[in-house]
Amino acid sequence: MTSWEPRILGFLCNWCAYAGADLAGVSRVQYPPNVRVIRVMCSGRVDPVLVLEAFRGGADGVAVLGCHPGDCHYLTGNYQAERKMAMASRILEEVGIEPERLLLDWVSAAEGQRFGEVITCFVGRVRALGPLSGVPGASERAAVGEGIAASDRLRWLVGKERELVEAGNAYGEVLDADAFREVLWRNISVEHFRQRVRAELGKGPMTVGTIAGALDMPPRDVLRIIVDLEDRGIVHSGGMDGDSPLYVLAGTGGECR
Amino acid sequence: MSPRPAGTEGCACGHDGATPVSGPGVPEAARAAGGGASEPGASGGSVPGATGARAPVGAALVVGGGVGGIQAALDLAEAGFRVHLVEGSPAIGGVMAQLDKTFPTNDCSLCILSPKLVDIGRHPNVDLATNADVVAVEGEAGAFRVKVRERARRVTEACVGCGLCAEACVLAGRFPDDYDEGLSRRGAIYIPYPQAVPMRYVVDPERCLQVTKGKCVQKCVSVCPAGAVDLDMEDRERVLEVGAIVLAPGFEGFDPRLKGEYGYENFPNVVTSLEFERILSASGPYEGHVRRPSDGAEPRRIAWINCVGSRDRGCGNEYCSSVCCTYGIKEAVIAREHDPRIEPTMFYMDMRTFGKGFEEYFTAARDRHGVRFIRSRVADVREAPGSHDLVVRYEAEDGSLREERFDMVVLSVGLEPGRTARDLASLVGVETDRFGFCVTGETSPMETSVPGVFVCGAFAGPKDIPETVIEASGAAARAGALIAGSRGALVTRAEHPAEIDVRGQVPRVGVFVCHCGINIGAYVDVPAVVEYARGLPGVVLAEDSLYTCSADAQRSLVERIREHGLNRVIVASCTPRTHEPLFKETLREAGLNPHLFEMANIRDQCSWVHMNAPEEATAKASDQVRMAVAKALLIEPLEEVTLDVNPRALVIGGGLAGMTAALALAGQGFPATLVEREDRLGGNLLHTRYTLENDDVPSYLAELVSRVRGHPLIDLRLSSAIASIEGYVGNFRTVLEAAGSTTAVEHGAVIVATGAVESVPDAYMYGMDERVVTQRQLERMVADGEDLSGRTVAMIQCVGSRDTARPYCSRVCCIDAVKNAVRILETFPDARVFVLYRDIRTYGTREVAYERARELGAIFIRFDPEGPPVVTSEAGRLRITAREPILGEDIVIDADLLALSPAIEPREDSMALAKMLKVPRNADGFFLEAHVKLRPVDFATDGVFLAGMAHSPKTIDESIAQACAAAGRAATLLSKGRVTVDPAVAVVDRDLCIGCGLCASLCPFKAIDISLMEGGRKATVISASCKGCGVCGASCPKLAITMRHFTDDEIGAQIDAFGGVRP
Repeated sequence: MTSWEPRILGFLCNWCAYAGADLAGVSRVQYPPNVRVIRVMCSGRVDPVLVLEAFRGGADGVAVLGCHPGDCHYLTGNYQAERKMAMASRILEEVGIEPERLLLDWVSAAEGQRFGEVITCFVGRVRALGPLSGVPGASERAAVGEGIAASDRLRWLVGKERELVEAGNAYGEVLDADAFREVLWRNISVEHFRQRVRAELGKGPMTVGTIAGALDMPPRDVLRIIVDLEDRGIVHSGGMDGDSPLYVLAGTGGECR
Repeated sequence: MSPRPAGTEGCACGHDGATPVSGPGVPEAARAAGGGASEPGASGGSVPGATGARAPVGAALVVGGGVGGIQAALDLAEAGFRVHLVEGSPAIGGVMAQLDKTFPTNDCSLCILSPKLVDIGRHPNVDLATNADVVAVEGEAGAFRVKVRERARRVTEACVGCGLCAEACVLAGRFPDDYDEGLSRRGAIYIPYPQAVPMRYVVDPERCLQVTKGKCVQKCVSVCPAGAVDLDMEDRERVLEVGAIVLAPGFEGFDPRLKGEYGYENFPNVVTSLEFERILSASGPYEGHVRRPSDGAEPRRIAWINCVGSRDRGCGNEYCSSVCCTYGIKEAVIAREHDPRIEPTMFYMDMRTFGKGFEEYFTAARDRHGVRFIRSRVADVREAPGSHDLVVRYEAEDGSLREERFDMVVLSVGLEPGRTARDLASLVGVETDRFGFCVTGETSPMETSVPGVFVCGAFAGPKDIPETVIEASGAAARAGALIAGSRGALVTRAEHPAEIDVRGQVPRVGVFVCHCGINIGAYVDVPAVVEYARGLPGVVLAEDSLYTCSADAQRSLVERIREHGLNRVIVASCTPRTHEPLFKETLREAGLNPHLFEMANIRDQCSWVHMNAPEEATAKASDQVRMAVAKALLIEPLEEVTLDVNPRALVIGGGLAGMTAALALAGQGFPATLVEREDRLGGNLLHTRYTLENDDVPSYLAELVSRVRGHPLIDLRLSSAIASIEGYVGNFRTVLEAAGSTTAVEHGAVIVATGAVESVPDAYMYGMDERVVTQRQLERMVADGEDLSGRTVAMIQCVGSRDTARPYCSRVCCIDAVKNAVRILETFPDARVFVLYRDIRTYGTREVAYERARELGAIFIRFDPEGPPVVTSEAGRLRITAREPILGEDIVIDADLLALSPAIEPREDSMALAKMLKVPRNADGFFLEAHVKLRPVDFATDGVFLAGMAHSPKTIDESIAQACAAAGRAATLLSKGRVTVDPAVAVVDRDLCIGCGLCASLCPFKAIDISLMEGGRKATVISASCKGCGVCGASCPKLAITMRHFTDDEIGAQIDAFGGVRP
């Protein structure tokens, strides 16, 4: 191939989208050969971490295709997929990767033609966005996103979204969907800061001031994150730099795999 | 044997089920398990229902190894009976093995059949005799003695299928090859086809010099590395003891030489449709390149001529062969797929695309695939002087005689009962009709005139593959009911070698890349993919094969696993959705845990969708193989979980199909709960008064109802609705709601038989003029004795069918119209009947009734959907104005009565049931079976089956056949008592789990339990309830849950491999 071709990874649910893709074959629907497929049992299986991992691994686009709402072989898996991909898409935006590179769509087992159309359309969209490598530091950005997606707070929030929005919290307060989104988005930003602080600390022991300077963040916010990370045993203080304590990243592990 | 007329006493559903007929003449040997030729050690299973009377023989004979015989044999064997499958030719597979593709999904025929061939070949309870004939049958239902002669094959079981003998044969390439319909040539020793089961060569005794003349150098003997050629082998006779017999001898294509005007005998480029299948096939004479026989040139203009040997009094075949319209369309579409320059033209009389999805298939061929359709009967075919081109002369619709030149002509030959079938019929003593088809009754579609002898497939009338498979499962159910008392008596258990413990071993991956004929090989550079795979980490062996799913490839796979110590296997071929079970079974045979397997889909999702981009397709195939290998390096053996199966079945719907299914289950000894939402049984049958064959449907219905009500194993729930269905195969729990109160039923299987409804017409003044009625209302008027003497009755067909809202054909309306026309004109010879139609679709032997209606004076007038009839009421007269499509002239009918044929439509509540059962529906709203061709009564969800009009519109006999089939398929599950569930479930890492309970709140199947244990609150997965969706794993805040066989690490490895650039 002489010109650049988008490389796209598709996560297809076994019961609908994968079957629809097979039907496209049986019907000889022709579509661009840019997609590589990973079969999963349910679109709800697609962890946002895996999506970010795909971008880190060089995907120019990621398509998650499941059953139409109401058709999920596992009843509600595709609703979960919808929430998880909304988060993944927001994380992409947060780390500076075009969220349009992520597609969530529904293809039934009977929609071979539609499968071809969805792929053709998405390949076109990613082609217009250009290679992911065109985004400076794309791989690192995706890696940071991966860390965000692995955050237990965010995962808990997303997992509880339906309950909080539909049934209410322990106090019986039902959250309005927009309000919930706002909370989630804010937490994604906070988690992003946290990841960046961690990434910075990965370079060696540092003071709050140094980190704040490097990340162009208010020292107060950095301190809050450091305290939180310290609470979780991810960071500990290690000596002093003049009057300021130095902070050190505790080994590996913690939140980010 | 005492013949009885079919259709009088016979009933499709387990009447005299478990009680075998016994009497004088029952051979001694039949009483004991393991008697006769059934030597294999009987495992002494229980014999329920055998009280006092002699137990029937727990074995069945299936005659004919086509797809029907194969399905019947597999169902019987799976239901706990020993099966003797006798096939006349040297290999099983029948005509389906010769087909290139199948309609309406264009599946590769051999690819979908092959797993079943392999299943037969390795089933421990199927004894296969090929090259064999049934030569005598005696005894009676429950205890037959059958003499089978195995003609000397002259090649022993030592044959390895290498083919050296065929190459060495001094007569190699001399004789026409039957499998290729004579388009290629073979020698005197040959293999029927490359994927044949059994994979054993055979000597043609009429051609072999040594056999016929006693003198030959016998190179075949000397060259055989296995010493398997034994030219002195003699015929062998065996006597089999069986309790029931299923006849599945299939059909033969009409001999086109009898229609001399089409020039088949003299013109090389006139071929039959079956020959054209071979021309299309990758394994055919031209390796899938469309060429014409005379000069090997690529034809551009190809004509299909329909109804050759069908709907033709001249040749004695008045019936319609049912399948030719659709197979012709398929051949035309596929030919164009092979070579887009081809211009197909089809000459037809009526377009009979009446099956599920067929009408849409036809319109797509016409509107999207460039197939030209001409409604005409062809007068003759001549060769153009000086060439082998052909001139087709036909009468155009306007009556003018036209000529058109073609490069090639395909004769769509009809289906006839072959000579083998006729011989078999007379040997067994079953009654046949004047065409030679086995006589069955409308309400007993699988019963022959001889008790204990059942029939399926085209021998009982022309039909397609799914209908054959349905009847095969139905016949197996009927046969199984007869011998249910000896279930398990003669079976041997499947044995697999002990599983090799591969944990801790360094992965040794084998990659097997399939050409799938030309399906993959023509677009993906398979050798390049193999070469690429060889260089991947962990791969110790990479190979290609023509058809990886064939029996010999399976055998070779086992050998390769052993030779190379493989502990991970990758097959790059079609889709795991159809073929994974086959390969997993092969791994088991090789002593590997079946989960050490991964597929790369390089056909359905690669070669077939990138036909114009071979380089990219090859790159994609290589990438998918690399990703599969990366995953394979991490996969671990999984231990299977077995569960008890509740023997009760839930049958939803108390119409014909539901009642029949319940009785068929009860007849095999399984309790059934029959749920009907109305307060009475009968469904649509309540509205049927008579049929073409039966004057008194209400009596039949009354008898059926009384048998349902009287059966001790049937728990009838009228006025009941389904509130919820939970559970999984073998263990369902359904809550029924009746009169405000609820009860729960536990059961192991579900049969969906919820039927369909007649739509309400919104055209042709229906509801505005009381003289406008539906066919059903007309039927009631006629049955109730309405005087139609001297009256004019008009009928309009396709009211609400075959249009944009309902693109499908409702299948039964033409038959109903003809039925009513015949009845009216027979009762009132002076009445006048006009039928306004688009295509008359009286398929099969129902064509005879259409002929009869015309003889009686019914006038059939065609209309185009663009110019439908107009109905007006003028001065008290009901006037129908129809535009005759060819002449463009209006025909005016002043009628006393107008009967409309409304579309059959799915029930509105089918969506709710589909959701509860988690099963799909098609675009039209009918339930969607697991596979259109080969699994027509199964859903993809284990333990859930489908019957009757909930599947698609169908006739009484078809509903009964499918109901019996659904019951039979359910019986294969219920009879086992245990079922193995997929071990690919979620697992919790307790060290990481913090017991937050998010997973439990998200699990749709309540398969996660949070409880206090050492280390605090932790989640536990209930494996039997877990369906393996993985939502919990993708949600766990602590990443503490993963899915077996889809672990984070495995998917991560696939992602990494995706990212890795090709080395």
